[in-house]
Amino acid sequence: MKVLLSIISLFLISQFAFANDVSLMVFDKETKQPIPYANVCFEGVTTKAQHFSVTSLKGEATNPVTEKSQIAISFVGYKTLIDTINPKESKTYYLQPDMFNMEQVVVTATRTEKALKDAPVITQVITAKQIESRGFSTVQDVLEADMPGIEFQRHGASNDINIQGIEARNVLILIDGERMAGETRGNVDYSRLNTNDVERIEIIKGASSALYGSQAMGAVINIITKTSKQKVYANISSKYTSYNDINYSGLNKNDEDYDFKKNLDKPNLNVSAVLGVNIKKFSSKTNFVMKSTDAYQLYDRDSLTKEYIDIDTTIYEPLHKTPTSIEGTQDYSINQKFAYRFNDKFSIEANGAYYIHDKYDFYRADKKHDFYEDVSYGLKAVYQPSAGKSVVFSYHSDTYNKYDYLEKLDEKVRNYSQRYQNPKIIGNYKIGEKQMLTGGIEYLHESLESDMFVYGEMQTKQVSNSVLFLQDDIKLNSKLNIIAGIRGEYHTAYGSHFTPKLSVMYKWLPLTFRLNYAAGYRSPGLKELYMNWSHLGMFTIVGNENLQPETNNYFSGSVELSKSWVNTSLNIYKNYFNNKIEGQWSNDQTVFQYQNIEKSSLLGIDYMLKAKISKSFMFKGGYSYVNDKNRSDGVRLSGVSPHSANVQLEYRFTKGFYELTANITGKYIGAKDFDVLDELEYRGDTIEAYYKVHYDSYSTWRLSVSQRFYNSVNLVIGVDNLFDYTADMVTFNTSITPGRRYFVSLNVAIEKLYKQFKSK
Amino acid sequence: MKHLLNFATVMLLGLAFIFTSCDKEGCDPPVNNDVVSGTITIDATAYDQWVYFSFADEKIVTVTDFSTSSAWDIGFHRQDVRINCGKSGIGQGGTYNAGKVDFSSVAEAPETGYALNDSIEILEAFAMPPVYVTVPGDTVLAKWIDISYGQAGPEYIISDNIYVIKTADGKYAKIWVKDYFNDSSETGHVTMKYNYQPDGSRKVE
Repeated sequence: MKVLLSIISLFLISQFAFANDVSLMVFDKETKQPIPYANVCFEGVTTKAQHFSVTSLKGEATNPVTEKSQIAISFVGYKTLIDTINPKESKTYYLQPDMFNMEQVVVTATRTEKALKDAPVITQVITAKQIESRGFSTVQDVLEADMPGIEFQRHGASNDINIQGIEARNVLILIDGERMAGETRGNVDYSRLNTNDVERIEIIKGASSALYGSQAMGAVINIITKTSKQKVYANISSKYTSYNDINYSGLNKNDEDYDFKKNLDKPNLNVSAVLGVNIKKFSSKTNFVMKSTDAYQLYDRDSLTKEYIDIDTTIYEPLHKTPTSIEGTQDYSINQKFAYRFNDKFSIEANGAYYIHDKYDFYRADKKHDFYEDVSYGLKAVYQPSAGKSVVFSYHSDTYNKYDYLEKLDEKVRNYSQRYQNPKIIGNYKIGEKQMLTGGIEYLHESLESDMFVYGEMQTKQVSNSVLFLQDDIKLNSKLNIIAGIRGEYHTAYGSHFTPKLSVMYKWLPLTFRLNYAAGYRSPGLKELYMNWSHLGMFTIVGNENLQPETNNYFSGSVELSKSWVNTSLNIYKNYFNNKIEGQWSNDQTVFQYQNIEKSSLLGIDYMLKAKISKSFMFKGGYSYVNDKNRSDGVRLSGVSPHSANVQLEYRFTKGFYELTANITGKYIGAKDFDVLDELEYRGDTIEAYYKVHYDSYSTWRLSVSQRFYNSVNLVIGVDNLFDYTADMVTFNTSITPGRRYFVSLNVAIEKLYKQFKSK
Repeated sequence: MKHLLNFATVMLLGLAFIFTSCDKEGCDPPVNNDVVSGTITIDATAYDQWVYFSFADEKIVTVTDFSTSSAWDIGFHRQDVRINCGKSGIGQGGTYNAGKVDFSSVAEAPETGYALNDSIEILEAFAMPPVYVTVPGDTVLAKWIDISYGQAGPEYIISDNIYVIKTADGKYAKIWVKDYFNDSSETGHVTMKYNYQPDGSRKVE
């Protein structure tokens, strides 16, 4: 508290220092309200001397230039304005709202900064404001609400991401472009992704391995964290969601299993705080998050009907009585970032994060639960000698540990530790006005400590990958942009591998056409290479050192229409997967070994529509169609729904310091039909036959009302899963939503609130 | 807090003593039909051997040939159990399932309804390939734990059933096999709470 007070007073002093020489005013073109915190950049026409400024609460800034200069004013949600200004000149500017964030800078498609409208691959962007105004607190919930076709399902004891036929192991999730350690069937620990520090989420469908390497085959989800230029800033957010289930009511303190039972009924609570300072050249940001979730169980209401078409037999399975259990959780994370800017050309940054996660399962008998821990840190140095030229050196390390937490002994026993170490140098070099070269040298080292390599013993295996990539971004003229890239790598397990990409973008405004080819791959994991694990003596899973990477070739063509009131795009793609790594049975079903075997392909269509219906209503919708073809004989093995859609209707009302946003978000997942190979007794013989499985389509809806005061206090109340949908049967292919839940969230930007009252 | 509790217990016991004590001449000698109760954790982790327990001795006993010995009452091997009766031995044992009730609620052993041991399949060697053998064992007590093999590994659900059993010499005991794990979460450590009636009567509480 004392620290907070002294920071606030520090901030006070700095406020007094400013207060005169107002010569620039920045307003919203539509509402005529001042725009605070807008970034103002000046660059001298002759000396190229640069100045930076931020507008005050009243939308004011000083004019520091001593020569004729270019001025660029930018702010999230507005189109960037560029003008020239003379020394001592006073000017008033009106910024045009950027309804669809087309001016938003994105980085995922090219690993360079580009406005969304200029990205060579259609990029879906979810901004902090869209997240906050709907009261989301986890990235998992945001993705589920906004990305068509995405579902989080249950596989074993972990959540499994599935994007219409794209499995977890073909989806790459990055935080500020960095890979995350710790995986379960290709899934990262989604609990690590909190929204309170998210600036935006960038989603690219299709392959991007030329830039990002392994696993970027079906989609890349890049989570960009916030940076702020405020002198002092502090944000506190909290969210409470109603209980999923009261597993033990009237719990007695003397109960022998008090702690165990109590842990299954943690509140659905999320509390976080961000504190940052920018003092001259130094900046620091601290982010703390605490959250807990309530365990629940889902009971089947329906049972499986197996229709064996080939043998004209139908078997009605009995109702599955054992519920699917979703664990309760408790986690804490702390994230610290320091940066120092030596001058306009050179800056350095250091960051570190620590995360712990208890996963409380329903099994009392074993006296243990899973406990996860992550330690990550990094260093970054940026050298930018002039506009269009930059070199970024970075080192990132991420270590994810899994433990058995022995409840009676209060001890942890480690059974898994995965670490990524990733030094890299990435450079951008602008050649003339038309070409931008991006190149990088990367080294990725992965180590895995596990008891799966040698029975009953923890052993460490490692692989490393040396990478060189190059991308050339050529702007042939104002309409035509070609980007070509290639990645070459040497992997210690399988040798060299090359990954190309090519994209062509043609602008015939208001239309933009994009054609893309990109290759993707996934390196075999350490388990797939070296595993030797006996499943309770019943069968053995063995690795295969001769595995080659899984690869894919992705082709897409799209057209986008962009007007001030509407943005819509249609993307058609075909994704061919080769050499998929799958386990194969041998030795009379006692040995399960990984092999490069399968092939499959996906044909898909994505349609997006964002439109401003009236002054206060906005519609956003997305529809995805997928046709996945696994085999030539018509047998469909994957539980992919061909149709899925998301819709969103937003109502916005602003008056003075008050802003109301009401939002209804709907998500539709179409019916799923597929075949499952089964072994059964038929006329005295044991035979193998396929049965048909059908899952009905479903939709879930979410309603939220956000009230924002003084642009600094945001109160959101809402209902998740408005119509209380739960799956009739919980399997790998269905939703694990607990049903309707009410929530309330409160975000307070303390420094903004303070300034508001200060200015009164 | 703990001290306070201990103190209170001592005081209460003292009080009970005052109220129950009487003149030496007017009292019956202390009866030996008092129920013997205890809780024992048995290391039954070995795949290739059984561990036998005697209620009369209240300890683990060494048995050279279980099928011809009446020195043991109950035997454990991993999650498997046998009682000295039927196919398992020459004793007068038997097993009755009282269901999932409070341990203290079973005050008297039923007169009839005891099942004799039959055959069970056990994993004798945790190896590749695993070795399963059929041996004499208790099929009723086998239900004390349910082990299922899901994708997340084996799941152990303890039934918390209370069983009434007869010992090798036909006396009664009730047992609650309540745990299969030690504090380090290793399986094969069987914890059994029991009340044994040494006088041959059916009173077990």
